[in-house]
Amino acid sequence: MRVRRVWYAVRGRAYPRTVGAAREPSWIFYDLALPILGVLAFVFVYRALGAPPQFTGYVIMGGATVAFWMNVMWNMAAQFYWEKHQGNLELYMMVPCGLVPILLGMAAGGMLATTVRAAVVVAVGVLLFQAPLAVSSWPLFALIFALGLVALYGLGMFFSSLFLLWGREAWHLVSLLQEPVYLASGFYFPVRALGMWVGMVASLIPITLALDGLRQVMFPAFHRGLLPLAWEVAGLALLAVLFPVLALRMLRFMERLARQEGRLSFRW
Amino acid sequence: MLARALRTARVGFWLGWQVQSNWTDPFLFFVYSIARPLGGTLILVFMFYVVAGGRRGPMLDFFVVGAALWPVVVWAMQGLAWGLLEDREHFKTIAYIYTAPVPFWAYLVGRGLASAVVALPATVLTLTVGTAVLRVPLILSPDRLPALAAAFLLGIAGLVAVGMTIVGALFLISGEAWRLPDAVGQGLYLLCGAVFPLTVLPGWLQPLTRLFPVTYWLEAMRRILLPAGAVHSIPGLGDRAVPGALLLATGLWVLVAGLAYAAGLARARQKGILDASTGY
Amino acid sequence: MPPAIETEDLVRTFRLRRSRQHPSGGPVVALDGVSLEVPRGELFGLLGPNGAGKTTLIKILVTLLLPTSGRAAVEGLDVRTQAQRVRERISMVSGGEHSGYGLLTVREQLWMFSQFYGIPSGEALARIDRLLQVVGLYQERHRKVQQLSTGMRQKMNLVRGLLSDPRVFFLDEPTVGLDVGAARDIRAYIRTWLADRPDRTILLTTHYMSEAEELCDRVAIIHRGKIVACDTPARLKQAASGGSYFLLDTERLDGADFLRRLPGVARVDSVERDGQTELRLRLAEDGAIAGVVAELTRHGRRILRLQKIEPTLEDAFITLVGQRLEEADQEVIGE
Repeated sequence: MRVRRVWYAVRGRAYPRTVGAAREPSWIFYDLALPILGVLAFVFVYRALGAPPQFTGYVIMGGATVAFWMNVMWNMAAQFYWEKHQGNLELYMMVPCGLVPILLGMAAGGMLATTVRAAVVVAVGVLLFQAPLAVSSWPLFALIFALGLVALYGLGMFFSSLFLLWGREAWHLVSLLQEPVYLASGFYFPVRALGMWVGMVASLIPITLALDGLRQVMFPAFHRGLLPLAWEVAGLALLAVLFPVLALRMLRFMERLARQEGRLSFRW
Repeated sequence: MLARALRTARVGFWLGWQVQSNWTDPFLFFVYSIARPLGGTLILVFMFYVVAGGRRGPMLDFFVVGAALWPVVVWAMQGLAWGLLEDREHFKTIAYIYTAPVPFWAYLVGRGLASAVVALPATVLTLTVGTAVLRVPLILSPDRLPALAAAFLLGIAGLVAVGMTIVGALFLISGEAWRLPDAVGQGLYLLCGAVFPLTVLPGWLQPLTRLFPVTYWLEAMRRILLPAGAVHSIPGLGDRAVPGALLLATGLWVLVAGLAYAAGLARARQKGILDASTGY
Repeated sequence: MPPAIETEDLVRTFRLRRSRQHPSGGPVVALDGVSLEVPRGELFGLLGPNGAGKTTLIKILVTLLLPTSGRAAVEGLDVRTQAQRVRERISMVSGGEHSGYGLLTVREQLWMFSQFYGIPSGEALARIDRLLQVVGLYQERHRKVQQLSTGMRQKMNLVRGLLSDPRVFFLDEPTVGLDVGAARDIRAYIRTWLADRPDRTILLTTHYMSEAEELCDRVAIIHRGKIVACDTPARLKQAASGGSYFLLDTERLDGADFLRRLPGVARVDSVERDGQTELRLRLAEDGAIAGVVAELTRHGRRILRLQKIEPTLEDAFITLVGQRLEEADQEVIGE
């Protein structure tokens, strides 16, 4: 009964996002053609520097990863900011299913565009720039990808709790977590270049370990990972448990705080 | 009419400043205006050092200056667009501002200029860090200052023109409208020599890069700020020709902006969607 | 069986940030010891000016806001500690609501919300269609939300509120901003819904006197966070019946202060309309009207109409609060 209720709520909230994508087809342009441009710029940066072709592979993987990061941050974490302004947040707070299924529905609804975006980036990288993307072990690749995704979406839920309390400040916090995260997680270069200690701290962001692990699987002879692959997989598994648990606690705490401070709506 | 436009632009500037700088926590504002641009610059720096094996080189200077100026490009251009979108989608005040007896374009220009000013701390900081930490050989001698000021102001005019062209399109787009300014920014990032010389691009893209005032602005600023021997994005263009090209491109885009704005606005009024908002 | 709604010494304060408008910061008391009991099956009204605390009270009862102190319960469930269970029994519709997703159709929008209540799709769509027919929106079911007029949107919101068949239904100024026809339709449906479900309860906030009088079994008048009276509309009007009420139309007056000084005149409210002045007089006794007529004649004003009337809920409000609803609104704005 409870599982069914959760499923109904997830599909309910995913619906406007999927239908919206079909009714506003401009996302095809924004999520297929234009994300390529930012990726291409970094490819050309490496070309201007005369870098080996594996660096093109780094950029392509980083560009694909940006799609997931943006989905988590903007379509999930920051969504409550928009919902509050639209007046929907109050309604979501009053429904019995709770916030978690609604958040999952938002993420699921945005997954289509995200997956397409990532796939197109990879396709362009391979076809246009002959990026040397070859997977040495598909099971390992799938495991790292899955663990990274679960941890990442747990982190997204954690951040979404901030928006229950904050308004524009939380929006800007999420906005802040773009370039600094791309830097710290080594989206476009091996994270090891930042030094071991910075890399270890940055590993708290699931993307750092996921990206580094995936690169070890894809460039086993070329890429020097931050940590041995087994350790990175274990770290990701830990984060995949830690962040969802933290998120659930944080959501409950923030909801209570928001109700106490009267921040769930703009009218008393 | 000019006086009214200036007055309106001043009000738009004031409002843009209130909106952009109205942070509950000033520290967050400072971090946001600094951390993101600096983060973008450091990505390029580390990309450089990973390939160059930790050694310096003229490409590093190219990156730093381009990355330092990029926030001004983005914020000035997007400031106009975001002004329209916020008033339409978020604050829902567009109907009231538009129907007031003021030139609406001037109001948007004011909003754009406020954004450009908000971007300046990021530019200054990046150049400072570049000079102090990365030893970028910036030249800020008094004899170059008039050229620097003229190029900078002309560049702002060009950016406002590009932003106004985007506004013309945004009048007719809802739903995904908020993504268009970002998308144009990404396109310009690739095509204007922001972080790599345009000579790296395939030959068939080169003519496209010459169409934008941003291309010449970035080139002009690099040639003024960096010493002889620095990497040029457009090596075939002499130092004296760059300001002329910037002036010409800016003038053309001001015309394009005027046409796009007028056409977009007329069509939006015809369809009755000037103040329509959607969200999913 | 516990009452539908119960509050005990409910207090809610808000801390203001220090600013030029509020240099000392300091708390704003939105609710100041509110104690209420609403039995099941009642349509209970909360009447008061803007800023009186009506919305604050509703938000506490629908679990959006925690009280600073005191207790509130819905069907015996504490809103503080049993919020999730409360949510299964309630729903809320506010006036001027612009929530929703513009790109969805009416039917889709409503279906989405039904899913949050765990209603199977087939059953949900059947309920939606039935409710849309009742409120006269069935023809628009495939129209996108962004294309709806204000009245249609509010009808859709009303359907959303009723989809889950709530045991306690909260209506926060549901007809604000609507035209006469749409407001009338909504009020009519509210009455019908409750008549068909005698075990359900509605709490309605409004600052329309006529709406409270028309719909509510009992009305609580709230002012500055306090309940100043709570009774049936008829008994509240009786409380204002000390004295006589007259409507008097005369030629245009420049102020009515000279009338207020007359013996036996308790209150004078004047409205300028079409070059005439309409006076609403509350007098200590019928005989005092002669003095009013004489004074107007002395000022050279003809009497165009004179009528004795029964006290209204507005008169009760004035008696209890000391000013008209519009004046109380203005006072809050001035603060």
